[in-house]
Amino acid sequence: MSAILFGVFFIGLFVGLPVSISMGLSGMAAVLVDGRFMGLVVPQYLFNGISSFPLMAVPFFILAAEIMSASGLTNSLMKFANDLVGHIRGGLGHVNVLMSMLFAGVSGSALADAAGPGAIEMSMMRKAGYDAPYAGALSAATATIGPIIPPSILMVIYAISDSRVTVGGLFLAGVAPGILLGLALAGVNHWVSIKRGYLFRSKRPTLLGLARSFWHALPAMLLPFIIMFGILAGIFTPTEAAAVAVAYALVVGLFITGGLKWSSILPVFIRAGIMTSAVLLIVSMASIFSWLLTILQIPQALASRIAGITTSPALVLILVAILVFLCGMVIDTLPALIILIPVLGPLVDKFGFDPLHFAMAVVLNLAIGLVTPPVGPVLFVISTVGRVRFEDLAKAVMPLILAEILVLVAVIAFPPISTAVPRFFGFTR
Amino acid sequence: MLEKFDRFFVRANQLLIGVMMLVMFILVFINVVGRYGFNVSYAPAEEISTFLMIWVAYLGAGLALREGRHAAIDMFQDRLPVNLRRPLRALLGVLILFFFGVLAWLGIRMSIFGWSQETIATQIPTGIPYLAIPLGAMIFCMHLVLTFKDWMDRRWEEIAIPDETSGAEETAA
Repeated sequence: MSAILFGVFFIGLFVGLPVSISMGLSGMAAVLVDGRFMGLVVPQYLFNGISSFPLMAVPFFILAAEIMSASGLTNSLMKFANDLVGHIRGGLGHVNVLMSMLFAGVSGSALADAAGPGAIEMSMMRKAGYDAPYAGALSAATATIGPIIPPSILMVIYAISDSRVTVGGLFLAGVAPGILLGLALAGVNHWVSIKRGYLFRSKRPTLLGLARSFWHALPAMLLPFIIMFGILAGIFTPTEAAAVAVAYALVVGLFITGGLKWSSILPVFIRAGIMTSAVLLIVSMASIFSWLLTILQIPQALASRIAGITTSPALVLILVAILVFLCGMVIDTLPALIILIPVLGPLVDKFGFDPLHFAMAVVLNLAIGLVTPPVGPVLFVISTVGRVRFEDLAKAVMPLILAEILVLVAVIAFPPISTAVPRFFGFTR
Repeated sequence: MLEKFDRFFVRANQLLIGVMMLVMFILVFINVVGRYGFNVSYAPAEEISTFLMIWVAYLGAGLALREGRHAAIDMFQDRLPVNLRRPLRALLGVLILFFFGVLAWLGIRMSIFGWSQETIATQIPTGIPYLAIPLGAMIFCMHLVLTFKDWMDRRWEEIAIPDETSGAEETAA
């Protein structure tokens, strides 16, 4: 059974079958050929895998970000970021970093950042004179901040798949690592700007100008705070908070900034629906795959195998980090997450890790996988949108990945980076 | 004729997805407002909206295919010469049709099986929400058959509202 499951899955992935269908097809083949279970379990697991009210936070976060973009708030954020840090050396690079941090508060996904603001930042940097591969690489690398700073689609799905952590706790755990990522990437940008003699300062805005662009960007910047406040105060579940975020985005777009037309509401919902479908199809198909993994007792086998190698928790964390990193390199982030959680879960109990710390390390690790070649979905998006050769992009992104790995090492080595903020708000999981 | 049908099919599918998303949002939002504002809540709202989400996931999958949104690893294909790549993708397309075909068949059996049970909150036959999977699988197959040539060439459509990135270029300039 495991031969069919893994055989079909990896061959399917290799020859270019969509990741979701590779998982569904291998699961279906394993069930039907094995014959121990009725074929009916296949649609049943596909259905039950996404029959979850908490999961609905995902379409709502996608929707809120789409409405914000359609309302022109992305441009307001960009203007504000430019006014704030554009006048520093390597200015647009820093704008790129800051913009991704601000946009991360609106959107929960790195791909959304790469395809939206990432593409704008890249073309702005190129017009200013930065060379194309570096501009693309920086836009790709900064997009990984998206799933770390709340809200985060990856984290919602993590918390649904693993009862050891909550969405609220995980969101808070991402705040400090997200800021660290931003600082690390800004640091690399500073270094590159000095090394290559990039200056490109934009004009320093007047205080009044800065205040004005802050005011225009404020509605978008408030969004993550509304979501977090609702969850932390115990008023909303994450799904309800996400629905409130959608309502907030609609009100802002229609009545406050006026950037959203009534006629574009349905198209925005259609767009968000199609994006939702692609994400949830992966979650759905992965559920049959990960169910079969547990039937085959692969998580337990792996846990005892690792326990056989070492009993030191620190070494286990390092082994896990390497395993996750390798997975992130070859598989897409979301399916990797869903497959890995049940596999790695037993380790948390066995070695007594802090579940929030462990989850944060895994999510950050996989987020870095978004930009690591050979399979970096964000790199693909940037290379298509920006028409930069994938190979050039892969080379230019290396120092940035190195900086991100340093942040990952810090997050793994110092648990308080991820656990202090949630603890402060009373979240232990 | 076929082109006309294709346009109609896409438009109807889009409308269905958009309206389901809208209803899903309205149900959840009204329930939140009702619960915290007026202390009333409509119990089946959670269940109905969850079913709508599953319907969006499966009934939108074909549209996502047309837009090339189902992530795949193209590394191997890109290294193949073009005259081998198309046959490979044709083969993969047939495999996908086979997969969704079997899934539709299993899904119909599941719906029939579930027709005699009732869902917890709404108390409709469980077979109704289950239909998402066979219907979605059949719609997916329709989309793939209608655009099979595009699938072989990896030519994706932009069928939602114009991409934000195209507007973005203007603001950047």
